Amino acid sequence: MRITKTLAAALTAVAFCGACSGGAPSQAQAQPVAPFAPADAQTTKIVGAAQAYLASLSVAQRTASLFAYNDADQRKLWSNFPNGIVQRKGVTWGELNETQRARLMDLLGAVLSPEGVKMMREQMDADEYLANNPSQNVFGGGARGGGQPRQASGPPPGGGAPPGGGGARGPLRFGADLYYTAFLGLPSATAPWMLQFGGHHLAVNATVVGANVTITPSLTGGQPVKFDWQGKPIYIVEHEVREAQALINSLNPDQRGKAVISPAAIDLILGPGHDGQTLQPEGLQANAMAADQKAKLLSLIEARIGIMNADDAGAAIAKIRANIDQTWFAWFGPTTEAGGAYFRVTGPTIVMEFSPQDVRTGGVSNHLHNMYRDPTNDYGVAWAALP
Amino acid sequence: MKLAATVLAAALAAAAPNDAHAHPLDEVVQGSYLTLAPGQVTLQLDISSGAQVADSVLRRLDADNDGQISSDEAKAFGRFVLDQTDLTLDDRPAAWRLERVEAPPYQNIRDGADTIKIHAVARRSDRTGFHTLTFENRYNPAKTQAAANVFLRPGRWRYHVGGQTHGADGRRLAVYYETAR
Repeated sequence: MRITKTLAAALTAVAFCGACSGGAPSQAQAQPVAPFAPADAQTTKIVGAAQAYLASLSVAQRTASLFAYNDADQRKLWSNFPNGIVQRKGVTWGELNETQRARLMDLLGAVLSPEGVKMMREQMDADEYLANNPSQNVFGGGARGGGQPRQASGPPPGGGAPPGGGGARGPLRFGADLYYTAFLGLPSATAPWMLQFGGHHLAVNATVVGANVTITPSLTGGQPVKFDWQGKPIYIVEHEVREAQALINSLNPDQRGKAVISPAAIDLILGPGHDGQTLQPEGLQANAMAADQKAKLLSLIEARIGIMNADDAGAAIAKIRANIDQTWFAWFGPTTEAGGAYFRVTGPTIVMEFSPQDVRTGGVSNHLHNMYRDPTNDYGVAWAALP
Repeated sequence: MKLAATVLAAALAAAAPNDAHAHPLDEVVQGSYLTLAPGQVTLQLDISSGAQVADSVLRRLDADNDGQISSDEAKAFGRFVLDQTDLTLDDRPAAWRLERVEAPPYQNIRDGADTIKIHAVARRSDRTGFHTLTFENRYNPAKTQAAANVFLRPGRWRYHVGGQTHGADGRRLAVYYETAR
């Protein structure tokens, strides 16, 4: 459900009224599962940056950016697919002027870590690379997506069929301009809300509930992940690939026999459209790992969760560390080439998948679909129940 | 200090539109999601065909070749695929009952840009103790990448999965589990 232009303006007015902030209408709010901790310094920084970004937008852009917190269709509107196959909603990078882009980067810089922001920008560069080299994408074509000024009314620049109805797709489009920002609920220190930022191969779903912030579910990866861009070599997931290979290399034959499920890589299991499914762990349980192997497992986890700001990543990692002996590591594919196999970490508060595409029988993929979920808290449902 | 998470994630069962997440051009990707639930096992079988092999799926799905997927065609396709799966529960063959088929628009499938979802259910005993489940998906319209995995929806029962084995090609899954109240 899209918030109407009138309502958006009203919400915005409320949001930027110092005396009455946090007074969003009931339809945009969720019910807390339990009293939650009041906003801490990190959340205050995030909320302030979000409000500054929204304040920099035109009325039409704000209208296009804001959705009710209980908008289930918008919440799930993320994918690894490019625009055209998926018609995202929100305001695109291409529609933003330099000031607005700076405000958005401030916001993303508050939600994410410097490494997370770097990864996000490299993802956008990768899609720009695909726009410049259409034969390189797996669809073998597609056009560049351009930024266009948003009119006071009318469809977003992505165009095409609206999501949610199972309609036919629009034309394929690639490029950095086609990364969308949207909000479910208004940025608030006292009520739940969510920031969505994403496009092809990227979905950051950041739910903020008082002091608590989670980015689950998040989709990362990219294509290409290893490329030259503006004279510089880029390798988007280098740190994570290195940590995973260090862990698999550290296992003895018996451990490896348990961890390696199959010599062939598999596809993502808990990708988009698979919310709320509780995957059974398999592979090697960490209680059968030596201390240095557990440390490697944690380093691998930190490489993924470390895209989030240090304060909130620390909270997530603390829970994972407390449950490390109930955490499992599974591997599908060859163990000889870093980056060429699917792997999965499964624990009480984490499912982390790394899924190279098109490498079932070996080789290093330049095309990744990766997921990070918290089976107890995707979209912050442990803190605020979804309507 | 961040508040500790204590509540299980709510089920968000409805799938997002266009949620296929793999797009190799020359493969049919099949993901089997088997869920142990009280008194039953459910199956969600996702079929995502790459653009180069989409015809191998569409020939059967769009039986009258009119470029549209009717409800009857979708159901017939679902039954056809289910007939090429084998399910055993405690070493006895079990039958799937087709619940529904989510078939995206013809052109989306043709372009390798969407997923067909077959939903089925089979009755299962919830006697306390140890049990086995085996599943095999033999549907093979073209070069296929397959995976099968087990999920839990325990309700008033408790399930403990003691072991899983996968076939090397991803088509077979065996699950050893225990049920308790």
